[in-house]
Amino acid sequence: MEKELVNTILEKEFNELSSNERIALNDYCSSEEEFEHLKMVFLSVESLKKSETIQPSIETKNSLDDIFAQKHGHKQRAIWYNSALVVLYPKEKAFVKRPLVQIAAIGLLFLLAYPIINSSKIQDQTENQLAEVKVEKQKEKPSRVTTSNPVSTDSNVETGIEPIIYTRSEHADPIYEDVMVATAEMSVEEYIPEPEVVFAAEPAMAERPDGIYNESTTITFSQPASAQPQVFDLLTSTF
Amino acid sequence: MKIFRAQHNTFTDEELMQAISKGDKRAFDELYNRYAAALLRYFMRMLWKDREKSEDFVHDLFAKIVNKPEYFDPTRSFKTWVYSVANNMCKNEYKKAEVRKGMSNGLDNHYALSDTSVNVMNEVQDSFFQEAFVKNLAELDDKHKEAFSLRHIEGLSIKEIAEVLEINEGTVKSRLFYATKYLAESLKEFNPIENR
Repeated sequence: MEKELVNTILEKEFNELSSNERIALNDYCSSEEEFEHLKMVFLSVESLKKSETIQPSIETKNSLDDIFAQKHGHKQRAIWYNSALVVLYPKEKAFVKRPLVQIAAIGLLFLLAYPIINSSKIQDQTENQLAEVKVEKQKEKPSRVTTSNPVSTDSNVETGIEPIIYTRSEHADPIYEDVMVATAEMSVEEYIPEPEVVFAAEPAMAERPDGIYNESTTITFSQPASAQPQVFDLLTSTF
Repeated sequence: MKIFRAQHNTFTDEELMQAISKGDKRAFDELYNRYAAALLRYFMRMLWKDREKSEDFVHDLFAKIVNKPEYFDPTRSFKTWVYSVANNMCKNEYKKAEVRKGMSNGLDNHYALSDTSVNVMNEVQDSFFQEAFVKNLAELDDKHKEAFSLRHIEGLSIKEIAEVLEINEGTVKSRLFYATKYLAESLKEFNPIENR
């Protein structure tokens, strides 16, 4: 009997058979009863195949291995990496239980966790450095001119483009008092701007690493451009 | 693993036999893994479910492969060849059994073995119907049983069975037809239509 016919018997009911299939099966079964008996035979064969899980014993294999070794003169030399692989990667174990896989997984975890562990160290180092910088700056402060008047002394005027930074003490007037606001009552002539003091906050990083402005700390500002002729020339120059 | 050694599991049976004749142990292991269990089951069916005898036959067959690989004709299919060797071993055993039967006191050892095996099958399978099928298959005469087993359990083609049993294809078909009808008739008592 062909495989297709066996499959037809296993998969279909008698009343589902086509005329061609009935003709092909006619020798084996002509009635529904006979068809069912035939189906039982092949169902039994299928379940028999599934239930037969017997394996030859280990002794049989060992004995055959000895015969093979005798026939070919020597036992095959074990290769070191094969024995290592047998230990590290035993195929009979589940994939996740193989030592090589477990070692690899631990290595991967460590690799992924290392930057996270290391980042806290880097952060500590950065904080230490910032603290050192802060201490150094505090030491440097007395050398600078501390004044409420933004007029520089000759010794503090630098010839470079960089603005000279002055430090203003806490007791100085608040910044907003220096800003003159024009009102509607004032005429154009009345509004004569005083020598303007332009303040620029020193980068907050110098005081606090997170850049948050803190009122209690000293306020720093740069020298006005008018006080630096070379900068003023640079700004007003035409090309 | 591929880096280190040849993939024997991709070799054909015939290529493995060539490698075995050159002393390749891994080729032998691969061939053993492919056929040992199937041949053991085949021997179990053909030799009255005698596990010990079946193990011995598997051992002898593979010992033959190791010692005399030149017996295998590379122009033939290995599967066909190995089953024909297995079948001849069974036939020899039948002849020996006949001689022993003639010399015995009338007790049939095979029935005793068969009964034991039925008990073993009972432990493995709960199905009474399955048990009856196995019993009826065992009761089939040898030539029909071997044809049916090779075709429907081992999965050989009709042409391969003809080669194994050294008979023509028409005879194989005829034996299969008879065996199938016999088994279907013998399972009539479990009429599925009446049981519906």
